[in-house]
Amino acid sequence: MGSQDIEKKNGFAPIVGLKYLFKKPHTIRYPKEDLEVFPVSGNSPNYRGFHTNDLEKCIGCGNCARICPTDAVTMVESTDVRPTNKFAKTVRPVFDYGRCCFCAQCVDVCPTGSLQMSRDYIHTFHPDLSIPVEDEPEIVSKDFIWRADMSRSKNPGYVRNESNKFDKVLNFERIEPKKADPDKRKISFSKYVQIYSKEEASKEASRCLGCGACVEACPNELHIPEYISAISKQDPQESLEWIYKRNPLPLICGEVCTHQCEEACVVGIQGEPLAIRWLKAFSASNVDDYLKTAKITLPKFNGKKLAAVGGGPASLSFGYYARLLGYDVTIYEAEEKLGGAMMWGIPIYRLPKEEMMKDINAILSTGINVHLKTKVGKDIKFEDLMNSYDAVFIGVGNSKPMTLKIKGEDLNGVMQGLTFMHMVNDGSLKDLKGKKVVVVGGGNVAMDVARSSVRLGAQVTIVYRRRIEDMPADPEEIEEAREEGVKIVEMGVPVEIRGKSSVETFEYAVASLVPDPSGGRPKPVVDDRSPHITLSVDYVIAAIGQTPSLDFVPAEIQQKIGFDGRSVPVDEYGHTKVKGLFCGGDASNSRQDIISAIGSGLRAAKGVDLYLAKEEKHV
Amino acid sequence: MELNLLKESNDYKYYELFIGPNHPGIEGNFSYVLKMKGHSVEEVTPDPGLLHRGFEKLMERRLWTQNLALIPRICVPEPDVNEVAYCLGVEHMMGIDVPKRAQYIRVIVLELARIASFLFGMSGLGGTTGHYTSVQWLIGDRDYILDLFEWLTGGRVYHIYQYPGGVKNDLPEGWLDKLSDFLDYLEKRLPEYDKFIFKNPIIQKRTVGLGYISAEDAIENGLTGPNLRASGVMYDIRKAQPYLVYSELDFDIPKTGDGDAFSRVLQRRLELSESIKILRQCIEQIPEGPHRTKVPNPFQFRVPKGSYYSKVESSRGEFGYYIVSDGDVKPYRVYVRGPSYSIGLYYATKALVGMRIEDVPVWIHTTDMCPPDFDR
Ligand SMILES: Cc1cc2nc3c(=O)[nH]c(=O)nc-3n(C[C@H](O)[C@H](O)[C@H](O)COP(=O)(O)OP(=O)(O)OC[C@H]3O[C@@H](n4cnc5c(N)ncnc54)[C@H](O)[C@@H]3O)c2cc1C
Ligand code: SF4
Ligand code: SF4
Repeated sequence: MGSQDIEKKNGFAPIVGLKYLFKKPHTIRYPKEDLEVFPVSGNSPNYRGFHTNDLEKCIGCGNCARICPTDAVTMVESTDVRPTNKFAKTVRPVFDYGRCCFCAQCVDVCPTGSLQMSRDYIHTFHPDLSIPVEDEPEIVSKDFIWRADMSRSKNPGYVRNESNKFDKVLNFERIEPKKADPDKRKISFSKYVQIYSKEEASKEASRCLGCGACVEACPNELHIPEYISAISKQDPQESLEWIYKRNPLPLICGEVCTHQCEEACVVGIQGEPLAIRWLKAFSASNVDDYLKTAKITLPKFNGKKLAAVGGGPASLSFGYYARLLGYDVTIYEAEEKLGGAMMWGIPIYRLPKEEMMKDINAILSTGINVHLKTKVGKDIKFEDLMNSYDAVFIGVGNSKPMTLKIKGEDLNGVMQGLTFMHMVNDGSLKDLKGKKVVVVGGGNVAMDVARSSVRLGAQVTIVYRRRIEDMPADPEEIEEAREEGVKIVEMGVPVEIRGKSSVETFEYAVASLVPDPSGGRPKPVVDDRSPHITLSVDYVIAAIGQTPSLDFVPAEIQQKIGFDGRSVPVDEYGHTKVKGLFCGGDASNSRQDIISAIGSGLRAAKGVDLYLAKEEKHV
Repeated sequence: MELNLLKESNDYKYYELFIGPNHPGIEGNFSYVLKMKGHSVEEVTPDPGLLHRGFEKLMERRLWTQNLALIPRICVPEPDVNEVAYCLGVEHMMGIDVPKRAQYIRVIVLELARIASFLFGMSGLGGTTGHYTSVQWLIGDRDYILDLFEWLTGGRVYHIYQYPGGVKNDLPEGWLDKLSDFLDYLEKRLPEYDKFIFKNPIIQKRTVGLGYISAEDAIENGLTGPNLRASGVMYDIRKAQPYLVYSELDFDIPKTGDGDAFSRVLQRRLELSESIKILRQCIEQIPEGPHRTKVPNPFQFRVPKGSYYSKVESSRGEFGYYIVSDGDVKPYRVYVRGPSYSIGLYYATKALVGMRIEDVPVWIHTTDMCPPDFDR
């Protein structure tokens, strides 16, 4: 074909065109006529039309608003919705269709899958011309700005559902750190979870959306999105700088934190949550000098002196942050080493002592005085501290174990969990080969006792009052304990321990569970019909909780601060009812773990600063 | 004589003619200011805005993947080249391998978009020559392509379908069959197009010999695509530096040759047939497998420090993305090389001089320029 061949003039040409009169038109009068193209009638099956949002599933994380390239999404407090889970918020996305470009990126990043798009084709806007221009915004908001709900979901278009969730832009599978096999790890006290490699860490970190839903769940509200983002950039230094702002024990928490944040992580709703804890361990283990990396500059001493009773995480955190404010802090510790329950409680297969000391030494290097083997109340009087220091912080933790209150508890071979762990950690208990051990309890201490006993060669049975799913211990801990051969007896209530001078048998009753009408955990009830079972055992170890001991504090002060034997009441800054006396850690926290202890220490340091500033004004 | 005197007065010899967005003869939101002498053009001043520069600036403030909602808008008739060129660049810098199936799907999308764009462009010629049948028919047939796109991607014009590492969804069940049906239909229509466009005496009169561009001129002025090939330079990135799976596909570059307006349109018409050929092969050859590889999520999506120029042969020529990253979650700079830039902004100032006013819109449409390319 070329420019030469011009069609000859043809008289019939107009008639040729006539046949098109009878053809079906191109135009489709939507929605009266369906497009024939798609197997589903109507428009395309994954059409990106208006949004629908399952308000019951949405957690208000705001990721849709953050990704929207046109800024069309606003999170608006909604009074008619319930929070979907413990950590969810009641804000819901509202869409401005004057801005939305229907790109569906918001649907792609919605971690719950509640946000979808419908196949609604038309969007017409009917401005009422009689309304003056000044009133326009209201019309606009009526016609353009909607909170998406389920009303359009009958006609779903672009949807990210369960079946194609691994297909879209979020990564739901966690990068698992390398772990030793149960068979190998149960014969050794060496650490069995390996810290992430650089590649693993940045791959895992790159799953984070940076939404910060986890921050509120962390007892000390660490800068989680920031430090994860730094890891994803392969910058452990910057990451540590963020962590260190609110946590001077980064490696310890990286290894053994109770990681409540992970329960809140939005990626965990449809997949596996970010390994926030392991990521912290990665950063901390890749930095040698914390203080230098975190760019800490120490102020001159301001002349005020503070004392801290106890050398656990609460006092260490208190000491560190008070030192940053210029105070001269002295820690009094009864034991020969610092660390408290981290030193004598947590077994080394979870937290090697040298890792722990790395964190503690960094804190001590800021210039904090430590008196070891100095028990307050015995080696030095509490009143003396109160008199010679500007303020005193109590961080003595929980040392009084709760007892089983059954017959035979005084027999040889019956032990408290804390005592047992102390013996394991100080090396005085070396071998339990061939022994049969019963551990009573379902918390993390019980798991540590059980798993340490396994490593010492014992055959271990855990007896717990409720079901496994009711256990307060970490699900991972429970699973790993079972992998290592620990037997768990559910709904077992101890009845009696028998033996001549030392333990021979342990009897428990199998309870039935009665649901709690007020919605709490079900109650185990033992009655006449409950079967009783007797095990022959060598050791019974009770790990059913502990309370603080304030014996070193004079009775009238104990009374003044309102100590009830379980917990010391304090205000938000850890201040007790006695002026200048502060308390933190397990002794006053409702959540008893390291990060809560750190948080209470940080708050108390601020509290002391505020208190002393106020005192000064009065003088 | 009085009359003659008037004729020679310089005040009245020239007048200014503005042909801009509201003129049906121009494409898009762009204007030329013409200095006219009688019926013929004396001087051309293109009047570009900042549309395109605005896009580039906006990209620096958005996350890498957020930009995928923005960049298709740089070229309305053929948005997909933007998405693909951008993804190719990002993938290269991150060292991501794209699965074979995704590459085939990308070629299918690109070729389909090319056909849609050719139809759109040729219909534009009908508009400027008063040949409205071609406008309606070609736009009508293009709509079938939009239906296919809607089914595949969820959007009719802006597909937002490419994603670093592949494409967002796999081909829906039965989509390839529909595509094949459409190609059959289109092939049946082509002889009719030929009859009423290329053998049409009016179109021939208006285009043959108009706006002749020599091969040297074309190269000198950086023309690419069908405009370049119509002048006899057989350069096509799909052949010269094959990307995606073009090296596995068998197609020719048609030769039309003498560089006038008619051959530019004819070039597109013949390349359209080649696109059909490519699509048929893709339907045959597309392998099973994943349509996407895993990449970090949008909030942690970082491109390593560096820069890269990726290019794609669009229906208008070389569409290039020069991407600079400083390793952050947002691009440091993205520069877009639009194919109409060289012809619409620079070459037009030469080519239009001496042309009669009624030929100007015809010339514009036979170059198939897309103003957002050079509206900067
Ligand atoms: C076996 C076990 C495992 C645990 N595992 C974890 C875990 O995995 N993750 C987690 O987050 N938490 C864990 N915890 C809990 C955590 O260790 C505690 O919540 C935390 O250590 C409390 O810190 P604290 O500073 O309040 O008290 P402690 O750590 O108990 O420290 C109190 C210190 O005060 C000293 N002291 C007491 N009285 C006096 C006195 N009169 N004079 C001087 N010194 C005194 C004690 O010797 C002790 O060193 C575990 C606890 C135990 C027992
Ligand atoms: S579809 Fe795209 S533009 Fe519209 S609200 Fe969602 S993210 Fe924003
Ligand atoms: S860790 Fe989870 S909850 Fe926290 S910012 Fe990342 S994605 Fe959000």
